[in-house]
Amino acid sequence: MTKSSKKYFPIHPIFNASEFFIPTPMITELEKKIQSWLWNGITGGVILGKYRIGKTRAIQYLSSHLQNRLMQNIPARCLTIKQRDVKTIASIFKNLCFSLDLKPKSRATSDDMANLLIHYFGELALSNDTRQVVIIVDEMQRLQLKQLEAFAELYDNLSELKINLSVIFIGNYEASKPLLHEVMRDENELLRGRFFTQSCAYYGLRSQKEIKQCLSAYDDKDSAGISITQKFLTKEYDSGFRMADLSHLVWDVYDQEYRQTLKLDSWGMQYFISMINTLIIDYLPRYGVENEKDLRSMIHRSIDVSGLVPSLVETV
Amino acid sequence: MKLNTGLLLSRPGESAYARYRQFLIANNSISFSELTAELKKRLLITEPNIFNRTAPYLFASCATKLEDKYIEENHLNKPEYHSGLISGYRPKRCCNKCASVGYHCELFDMPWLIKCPIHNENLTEVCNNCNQSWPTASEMISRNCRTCGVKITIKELLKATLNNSDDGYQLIANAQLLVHQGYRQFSSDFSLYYYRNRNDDIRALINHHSAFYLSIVEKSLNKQNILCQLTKTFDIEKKTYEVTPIPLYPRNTDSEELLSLRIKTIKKTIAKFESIFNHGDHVIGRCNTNNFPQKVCLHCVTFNIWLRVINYRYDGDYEPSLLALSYEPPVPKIYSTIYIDAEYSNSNYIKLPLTLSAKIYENDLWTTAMHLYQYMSHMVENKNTTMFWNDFAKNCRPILLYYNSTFSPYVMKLTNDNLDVYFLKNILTTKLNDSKKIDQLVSYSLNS
Repeated sequence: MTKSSKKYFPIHPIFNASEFFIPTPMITELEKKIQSWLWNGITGGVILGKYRIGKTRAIQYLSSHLQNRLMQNIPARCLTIKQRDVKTIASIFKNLCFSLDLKPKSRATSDDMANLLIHYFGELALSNDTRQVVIIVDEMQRLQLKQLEAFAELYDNLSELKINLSVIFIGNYEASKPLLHEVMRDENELLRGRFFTQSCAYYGLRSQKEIKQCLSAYDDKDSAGISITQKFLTKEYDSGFRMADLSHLVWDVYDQEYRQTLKLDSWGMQYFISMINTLIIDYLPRYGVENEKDLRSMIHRSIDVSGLVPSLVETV
Repeated sequence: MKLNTGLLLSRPGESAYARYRQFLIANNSISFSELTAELKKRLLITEPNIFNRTAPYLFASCATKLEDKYIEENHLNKPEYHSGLISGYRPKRCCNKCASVGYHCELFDMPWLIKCPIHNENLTEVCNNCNQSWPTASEMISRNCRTCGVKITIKELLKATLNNSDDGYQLIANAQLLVHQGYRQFSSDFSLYYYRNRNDDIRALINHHSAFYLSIVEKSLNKQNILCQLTKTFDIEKKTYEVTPIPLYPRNTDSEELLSLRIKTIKKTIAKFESIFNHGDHVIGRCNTNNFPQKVCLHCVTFNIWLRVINYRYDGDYEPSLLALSYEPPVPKIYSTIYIDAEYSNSNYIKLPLTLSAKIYENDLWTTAMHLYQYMSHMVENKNTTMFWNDFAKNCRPILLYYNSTFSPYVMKLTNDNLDVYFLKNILTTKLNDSKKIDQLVSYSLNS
């Protein structure tokens, strides 16, 4: 970005893909689901969905919004399993310590790390009266069955200290199948009973109504009293234009030209956000919002730019 | 980098020593250098080498600040009272089961508390697991013991946590709160003051740790049933004396009047001895004690040594070698002056009323006699003629006026010219002394 463009576009969250976030109807639904698990003493669950539909962002958002029945915050900490990780129990403890910014001694054993983690989670749980704490494990498909023992050990020890740990696993539906099949075997009943009795499917956008809800977020005013639509389409906004008005057109283009053709069951949030951002930053300010044919063409181009199609080409 | 605070092990009524130990237990997988570096970073300390393993008091105070910050940020219940870690502090006694879960409270150091209110086990001066004295704050890091060190795993903690009663912790917390409320209520320290011929002597009158003192606090705060669960209830008597302040650094505090009062009080006490121990042919102080320690009348030998210790007269039939005690208690004195060391106002001196002087002196005479009796009993029991003070102190709890819990039966409060004095009624009234023998009184003292 040049100096002049920087001046023209002051830094806005919309330019930062990892920072920009809008609450979606699916997140609200997921929040209700997880909340019900936590309120009913469920010690774990699985959230499954396809790649790029926004599971991780959703859970990152929810991790700071979980509450118990007394409306007290339940602290949650996220752990992402990396592909390159060693497939041992110790690596889980090490990974957890690393992601929580705990630094055990270089020669610390699994027991040492487990001790450190139990004290850490135990202290976190003291912040609410129901003594609850949550670990969210992202990319669960990269875990091996024996590694689940690490979470079971934390759960057991914390439970004896009267601390209630819930572990929520998030993974790709297809890629997690082998692990889930193993968990379902009789000999793993203990693990299954602890963490895998509940599951929830997470989807991207599936209807015009959901798209409208997401687009409304662009019209909502921020803390400074200005909406994204107003910021980038000032003239149009003043004339009464709202991004939510485009929902039928967006759905129409997506439905007819992509969803039905490519047999998509939902529109991944990453592609949707990328598409809307392209539309609102690049196309609409330049070509206006008056002509429906132009709008359709802009939406079509934006979807292409978002990477939805290349991504599908790769996976198909 | 994140640090644990040790709050998971926190229990009501715990001491600063316990808090520091819990912090170390909770972070025992992190190196000391990492711990110190992070604490410095968190608390914006820039001085290098400020934390020292052998003098960890600043380190402990920073750990406490970290815990307090965590408590504040998470809106947790703040403990009602926390004192700081005292330099060189070593727990006098502790419960082994409590130690194995990182717990310790100031109450364990109180001489009158024999058993742990949580586990109902005897408090010990050494750790039963490693057989060493309880560690100081600087020793605990290197102590490789699962009961008193800091390398305690969560599995060991869990094993030790089973069957802990929350009621016991609450009782301790309440009792300690009482102690600290008492410090505020009776904040002045009262000492007996003596000066003659360039010699002065100050003897503490108040023992803030005594069960009697705490009973007074309990009574004055109108809070019953806290301490009585830990110790027996005392029969307390309160008298108010009108006193007069005297100039700073008074000189020649004993007068002829006082010296004659001393003789009168000794005679009165001897008469009590005689009324208790003279029966039939037995006359106190007249038994043949030549075969000490094989064959001895404890009452008589105590009586004769007591006469010598209090500097009265010597006319017993025992050999002088018997008096070669390896240790002699301080000579009881009759005092006319009280020195008041007030925490929130100027220190001053007051003149004691004669009746109070006599009362305190009489009590001192009795406790000295009981102490000697206890000492002689121990020597006889162990067939030992050369018992050193350290050995005695190690095996028995000495019962001297200034030393022991029950037998320091004074609590005072000065309001203008009125001195409120709380007595332990049972010990000071002649009624009890007439009806009980010395060994029963010693037993009473030791079991209180």
